[in-house]
Amino acid sequence: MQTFIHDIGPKRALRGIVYRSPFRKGKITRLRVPALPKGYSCVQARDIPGKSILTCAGYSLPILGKSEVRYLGEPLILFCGPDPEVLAEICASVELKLKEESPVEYKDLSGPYREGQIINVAYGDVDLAFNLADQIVEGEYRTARREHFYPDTQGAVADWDGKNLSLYAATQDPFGLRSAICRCLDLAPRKVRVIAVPVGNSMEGKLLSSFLVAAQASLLAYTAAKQVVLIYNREEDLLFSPKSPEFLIRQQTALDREGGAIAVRVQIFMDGGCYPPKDCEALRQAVHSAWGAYRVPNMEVTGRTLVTDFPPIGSFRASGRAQAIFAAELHSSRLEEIAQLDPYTWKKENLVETGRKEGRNKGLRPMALTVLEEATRISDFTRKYSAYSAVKKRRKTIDQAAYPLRGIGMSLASQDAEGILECLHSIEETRNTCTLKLVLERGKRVRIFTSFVDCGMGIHALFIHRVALLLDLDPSKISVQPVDTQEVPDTGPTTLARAVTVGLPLLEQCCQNLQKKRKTATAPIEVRRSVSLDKLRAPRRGKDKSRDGGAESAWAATVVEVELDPVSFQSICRGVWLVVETGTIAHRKVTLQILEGETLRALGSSQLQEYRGTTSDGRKLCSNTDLIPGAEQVPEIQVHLLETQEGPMKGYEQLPHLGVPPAYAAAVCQATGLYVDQVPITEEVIQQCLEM
Amino acid sequence: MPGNVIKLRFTLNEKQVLLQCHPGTRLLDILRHDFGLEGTREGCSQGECGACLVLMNGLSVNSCLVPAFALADSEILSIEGILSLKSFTDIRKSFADIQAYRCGFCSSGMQVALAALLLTKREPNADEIRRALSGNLCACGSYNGVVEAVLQSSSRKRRYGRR
Repeated sequence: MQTFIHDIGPKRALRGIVYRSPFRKGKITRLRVPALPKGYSCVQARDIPGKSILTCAGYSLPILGKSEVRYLGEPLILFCGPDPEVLAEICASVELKLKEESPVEYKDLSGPYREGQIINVAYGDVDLAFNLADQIVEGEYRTARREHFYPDTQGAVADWDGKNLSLYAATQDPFGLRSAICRCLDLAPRKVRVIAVPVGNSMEGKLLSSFLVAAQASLLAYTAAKQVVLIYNREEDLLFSPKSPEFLIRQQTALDREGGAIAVRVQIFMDGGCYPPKDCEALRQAVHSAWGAYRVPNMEVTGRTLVTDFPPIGSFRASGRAQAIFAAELHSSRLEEIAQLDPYTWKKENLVETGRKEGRNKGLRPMALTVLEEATRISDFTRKYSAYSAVKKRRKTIDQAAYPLRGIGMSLASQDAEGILECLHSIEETRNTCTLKLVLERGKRVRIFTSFVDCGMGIHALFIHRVALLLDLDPSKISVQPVDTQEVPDTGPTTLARAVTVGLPLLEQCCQNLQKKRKTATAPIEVRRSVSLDKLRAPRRGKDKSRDGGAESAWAATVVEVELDPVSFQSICRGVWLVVETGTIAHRKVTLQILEGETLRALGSSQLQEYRGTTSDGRKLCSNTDLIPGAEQVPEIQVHLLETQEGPMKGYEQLPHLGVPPAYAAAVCQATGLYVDQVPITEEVIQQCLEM
Repeated sequence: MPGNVIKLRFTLNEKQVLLQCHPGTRLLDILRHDFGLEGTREGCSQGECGACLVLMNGLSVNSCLVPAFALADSEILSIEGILSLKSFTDIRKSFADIQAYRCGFCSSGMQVALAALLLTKREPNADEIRRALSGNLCACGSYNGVVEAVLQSSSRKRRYGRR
């Protein structure tokens, strides 16, 4: 049985607690800590010996608020001691006074806000094209904040012995965490040891948040000179930990007489939270994916980060790209209607052509078309779409429907390898090298040394099966060394995309090297391989003309079929068909399992309740059953892998998150005949659309 | 916890135990902290995710919702107790197979839910298995893998006549 962070806290260790602001915004005028009993310690912002700001994957936030409060629940003081009940009493007697300011609500992102980062991308003559347009189609699309809902809440166990710090943490980036702790405590890296414990499926929620809780535990251990356990409870984790940002995307398309798109203008507004990132990868991904996979000669995209008073934002799987593709795909479904074409035909006719230089998606047509055709075939899309459209036409209003409303939707998306590397690069500019080590021991046993933790993504299983295949060994003889910064090399932060695009090629090189060494040396044999991310990025910058520009992008076409109750609008997903381009598959079973699981999570975020942290009076508005589908809600999921023999395995775990929400929304639109322009789509959302 | 302390006698994993605690203490905390049975996990803490499932008098219950006073004279079987039962060997093996592709946080809760089902039905069909798992949430979305594993283990039993 796996041991998670909640299972390792020794009984004798001190317990930690975080005092959080009960106010949403204001300048602190008084913060008084009560007299502490013997054996209890506290830490405030002024006690931090090093840097008090944590940075991870481009996002940053302070460990403790100092002179101002920017969001409800902002950590202000840390306490530790032997008795949790006494700690709770101490927290209750902290005196906080502040000059309150009115918070900026996040309901309407286009309101008067302070702007953070702005990104502009343009080509062609957009103004002229709009002046000459025969018709202009406008749409406004919203995507809600998303909660990671990792099963194990954030936590860390820190132990300071007066010279060295040992830290047990549930994190996706053990070496990044070590650097952060060194900066926070002003210690040399050799004095800090991070032992990564198994992490529940985290959707990249164990990056910035894990740094925060680990830094807090480390500060307490450093101050008290003892072992400290700090575990957030579910409520504080749900309410106050960083989430994926909310987006509002305005699409304007200029059409010619035949209904073809001649120009696109996109405005993207991203809720940057109270500590908006200066250089946000999610915004960049959104801007570069603003018109999806389609061809347009003139385009203008503006992305803005807005400063609000919501808890900080952080990494999330496919953040930015998923929202932009949702808007682009849903907007394209309106263009399909105007052009009186079914989605398959419209998509086929408007795909970016091979060799064209629009945007970053040049030369992507062949594989995009293949996945599209395959998805259409296996889902019987064309027949079902025509049948449901005919039913919709016969029905004058939705009230006349005495039978379930049915609809089917399709979407097309790509996971860009360059985007993955850009994202990884921005995680920490100074850590630009990935290293992986393999050791062949006596008895033909192999140990893999990497800093990738598993996080329920099957990374370790993938690595084990790959080594078994390449070295012709039994998988049971291969193991992955537990992640400890004193034992394993820095392979970088864990994401499946990185493990596949960077880790697997390194592993393959190690295996080749090991095979050579086996002929001349006896066990134990150690091989180590490193790669610089700059090197990996160089060929992707378009210098290599001999290769298809899209060879490293993974494409997926998704079809979703839904059935809605005509009275309650409760939806049942009848099926999901996903066709994914994967490159050379390292292990089919693991790949299928991962994609099926991600599809289910993506479906949950499309149809279940929106995550809203708190109302203004601090009430929690949703629970975890609203965020993850249960066993009885699992529809038929068919995943087809299109293996391209040449080229490495591709990152693909984002694809269900890119494809499922727009396909689901398109299916609901067809079933109800309504223009639904947001995700998640709940019964209430459909009701609201009906009343409008 | 402030207030009165009660004395309790109940059966835990087929052994009689005696415990002194506050009547409101959660069974989950009793198992994890007083008996060191950490296979029972704390997930949502509000009875929705099923990570903390145990068998109480043969029925699966969320231990985060069971107060200590309800334990008197009851029979509790936690995941540690279930894993030691010979009749669940096949399920244990099936879970070990699919474990590699999941984070494993919900495994113990799911195995308890399946144990409750298999106590009443030896060869359940896919729908019955799904219904039994309806109180368990899996962040990795591995339900289909679990259903398949249970069906396979049932068919193995049938084939080899082990009942």
